[in-house]
Amino acid sequence: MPEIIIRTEKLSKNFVSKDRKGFRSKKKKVEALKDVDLEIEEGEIFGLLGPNGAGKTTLIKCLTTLLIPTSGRAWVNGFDILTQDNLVRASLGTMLMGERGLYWKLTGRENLDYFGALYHVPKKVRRRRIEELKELLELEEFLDRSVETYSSGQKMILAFAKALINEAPILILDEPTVTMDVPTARKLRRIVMDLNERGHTILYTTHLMQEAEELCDRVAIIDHGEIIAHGTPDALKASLVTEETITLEGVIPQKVTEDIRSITGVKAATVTSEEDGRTSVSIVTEDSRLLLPKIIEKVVGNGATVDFIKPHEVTLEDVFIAKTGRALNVDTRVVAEREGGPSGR
Amino acid sequence: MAHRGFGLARVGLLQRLSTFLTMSKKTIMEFSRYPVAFVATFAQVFLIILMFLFAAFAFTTPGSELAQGRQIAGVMVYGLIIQLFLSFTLWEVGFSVREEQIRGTLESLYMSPASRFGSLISRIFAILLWTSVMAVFAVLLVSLLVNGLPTANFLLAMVVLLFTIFGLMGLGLLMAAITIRLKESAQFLVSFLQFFFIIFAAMFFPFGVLPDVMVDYVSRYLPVAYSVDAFRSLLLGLPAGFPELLPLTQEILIIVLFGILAPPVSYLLYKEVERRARIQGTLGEY
Repeated sequence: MPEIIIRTEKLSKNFVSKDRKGFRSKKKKVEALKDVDLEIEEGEIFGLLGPNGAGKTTLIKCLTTLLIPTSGRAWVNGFDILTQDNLVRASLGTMLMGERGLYWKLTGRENLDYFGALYHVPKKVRRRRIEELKELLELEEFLDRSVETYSSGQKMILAFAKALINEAPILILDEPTVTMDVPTARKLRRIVMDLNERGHTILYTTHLMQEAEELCDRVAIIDHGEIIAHGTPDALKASLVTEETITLEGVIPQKVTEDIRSITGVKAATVTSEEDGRTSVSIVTEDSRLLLPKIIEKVVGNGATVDFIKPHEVTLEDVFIAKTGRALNVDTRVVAEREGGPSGR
Repeated sequence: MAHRGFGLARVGLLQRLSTFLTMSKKTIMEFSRYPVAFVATFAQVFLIILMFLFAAFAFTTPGSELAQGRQIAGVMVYGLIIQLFLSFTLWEVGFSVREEQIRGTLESLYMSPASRFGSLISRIFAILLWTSVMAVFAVLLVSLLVNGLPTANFLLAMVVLLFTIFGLMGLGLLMAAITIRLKESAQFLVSFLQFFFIIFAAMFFPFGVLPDVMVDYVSRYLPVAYSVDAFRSLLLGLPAGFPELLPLTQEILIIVLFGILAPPVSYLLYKEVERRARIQGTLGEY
């Protein structure tokens, strides 16, 4: 059984923020993390999901020792983040703040060399490692140029390379694909999976549910500083008692729609659009996988022509919506502001 | 809980030294990427020297220009050397910490296992190297202008300078702490402090020029004032009335204590400010 490599126990973080109005300012307590209990196993890709301001970055900043928690404890690679902070840092490769955190006047190579030195990687090893990363991340085109001339995507790739320079056993990647174009983001995800196969434990934060589903062995959903759900993506989705929807498009007579409704397990069948003789029918079922063959049989047997079937499966986004009542693209801080409640950073 | 090593990191003493050198090299390399600022800073120092020198020459007694000119030039240029080290340490350390805070590299540095002390000292070390070059050129230029500067008690003066530089390293660490706390407001504080020390540590004139009340209530409490006094008094050959604040041995004792105590005391303060910034989450605020 895999061992635990990152653990938090009742980790909380409060901030005091100031609301300013003209010359006046009012202090406000912000609970960015509330009693977070988390266990991340060695060798897994663990996704931390949540909207902007949910507390993902605060949690990562606590784990990377950038922030001192208000209460609770945490261990990384066997070391206490409060009393063995330097050993915690030596255990991590971190990509935080995206393209910030690079020296713009230095070249990519100089940046990697410098950060390698900060992680006490010997000079010869650094040189070899930079060459490896150049190959792996296809940095050749821009590695010897000043970072100030890079595009946003190139800066992100360099920031990713920086996180890999010390080949740490644990990688913490905070929204690494933000500002990357689609092919580059896909490449990065592939590399993340390769690194994981080579034994690296990866803590990956994102607000993109598809990304989390594609990459992560387990995920935790964080909102308003609290872990509201965690488990494998499949288990989380299965935990939702929900209806599933199938959309049929084609030439579908009205009678067929009524016949579909008569199938046991179909909760509703609704014509959602009719245009130029083509109909779109939305069918709500308890289990679309089980009922789809029966539905097709009923449709085809009644002279209908179906040219498009779109099952709508439960996503992690649905899990988030079910747990919070909100969609993921909502900024938690804005909601908290409206509700007068706390918010994360 | 599992422990799976530290990847490619090798945490030995030699590797730490190598990290320190790489950090210093990076500071110098970054300087070199701003060639206009590099040249302008250099030129500015000489313009300041010339401005003060010509002003001083204007008030020397006719007939004794050479001897007096040398003495005045010595007072100024040796004061300027301390001023250069002080202002570059205060200004550049604060500025570079703030720059890193804005760019986000300060957080990157703090996420690494590299020594904070080493990182700050490497900045100061690089700045001091650069300042030393400027100081040597300043002395050579003025020496050329006045046909040679007095350089009595050179070795003892260098010891005084060395301990002064250690003390200034402490002030640099203090400035780094203040910058993390005050952010850009720290730069205004630096400007204020530069002029404060120019006046109260009598960097370009003898202490005798200052009103007694200023000397008794301010200058005598500034270790840098003793550095200026002892350094220039030694190099000028301890002329009558120099050093002005205390007997030489007492001044040297204060300077040695300043050099030994300022860095660790300031570093402790820096650590405390850093700890508070990590509690408040202000380390990376920009």
